[in-house]
Amino acid sequence: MIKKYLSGIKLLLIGICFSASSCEPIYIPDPIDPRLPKYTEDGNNVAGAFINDELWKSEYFPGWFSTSGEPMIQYFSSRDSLSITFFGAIDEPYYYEDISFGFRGLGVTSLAELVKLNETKIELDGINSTANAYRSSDCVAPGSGQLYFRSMTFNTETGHLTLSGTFGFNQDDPACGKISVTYGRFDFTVSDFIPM
Amino acid sequence: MKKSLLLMVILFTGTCSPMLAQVYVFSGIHQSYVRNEVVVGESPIYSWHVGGGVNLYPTLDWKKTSINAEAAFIEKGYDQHLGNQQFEFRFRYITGQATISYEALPFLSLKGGVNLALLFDTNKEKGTSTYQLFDFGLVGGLGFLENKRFGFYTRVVYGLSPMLKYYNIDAMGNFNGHIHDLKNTCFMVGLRINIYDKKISLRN
Repeated sequence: MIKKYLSGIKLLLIGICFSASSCEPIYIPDPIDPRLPKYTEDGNNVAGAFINDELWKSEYFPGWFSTSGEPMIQYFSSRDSLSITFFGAIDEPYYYEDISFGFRGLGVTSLAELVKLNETKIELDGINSTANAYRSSDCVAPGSGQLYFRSMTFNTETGHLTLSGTFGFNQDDPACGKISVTYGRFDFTVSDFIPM
Repeated sequence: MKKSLLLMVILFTGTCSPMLAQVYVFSGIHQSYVRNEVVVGESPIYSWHVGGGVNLYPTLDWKKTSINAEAAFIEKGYDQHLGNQQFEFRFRYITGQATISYEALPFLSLKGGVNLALLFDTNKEKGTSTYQLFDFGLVGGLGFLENKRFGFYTRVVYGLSPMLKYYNIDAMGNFNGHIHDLKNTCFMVGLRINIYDKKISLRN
């Protein structure tokens, strides 16, 4: 009887270990510039960019009991606007810095509907589509540039969306000066969509 | 790639019937680097290789010309320096090589042929899915004292096929086609030990 319980516990531990290890973000270095993650469309749960030539990284650690770094996708029905935020940090010296995008009138009201944006390049004009690298709460000037949703796939069985793409934009903020975000790329599998 | 494979098959099958002359093992060091136009701050590395081969003489009359087939393990790669960071790229290959050897002098052989390498491991996460599995190149070199128990060799493997096929992404995130780049080059020197040498015993 004890043996039976022990083998059950063993199986459970193996299952937990397997689940935990399979949820680690997969950081494949870019073959041209290995400071950045390679551009992938596999849901590796990483993003990277240069902010004023400093490396910025975002990593999502999904888990059963706690998660960290999951991109936040919010929909504001009153304004028909969508926001996507990648939580990340500058590598050296280490400090948190998030990159956020906002869009009006895309007609996306759920996670599954985000696949409408597959292969879509959105020009960030600073009016209907904006970007922001939150260097501090004072940096509010909208960025202009481009966000490219290159691959958006929704798994109806799991309810997960894999979103992959690239971005680049510039901000000229009176308080924070010029901020240049270049060589941005992201590849996440997410499940949360927050209607507001 | 198909043509090169066919050429190697022809070379190997053409040597099935003739008399076996030499079987040997070899090991040495090499300088490896990549010729390219996309990676910045790269520098060559020094590593080692080990393998074995056979020297086959098509007929008994061919005293000076032989066909050479080798298999080897070799680590190629490069280092990349970006800012104050250094990144190491290492690629481990199993290679098959077919060359024609001509004995220009009693102690000196000239060799030329083709080299086909299979990438089986790298030091990068999912490296075998990032880089091309097959690497095709030309090889040329010199063999010294090949009729003795111990000989030496020097050779150059000049990669022709790109190791990398990847997106060309600009700073704003536009995809501008694909990059086909990174070609291996290896300068090798080493020691060769004959473990079976019928040619020597025939001459004696």
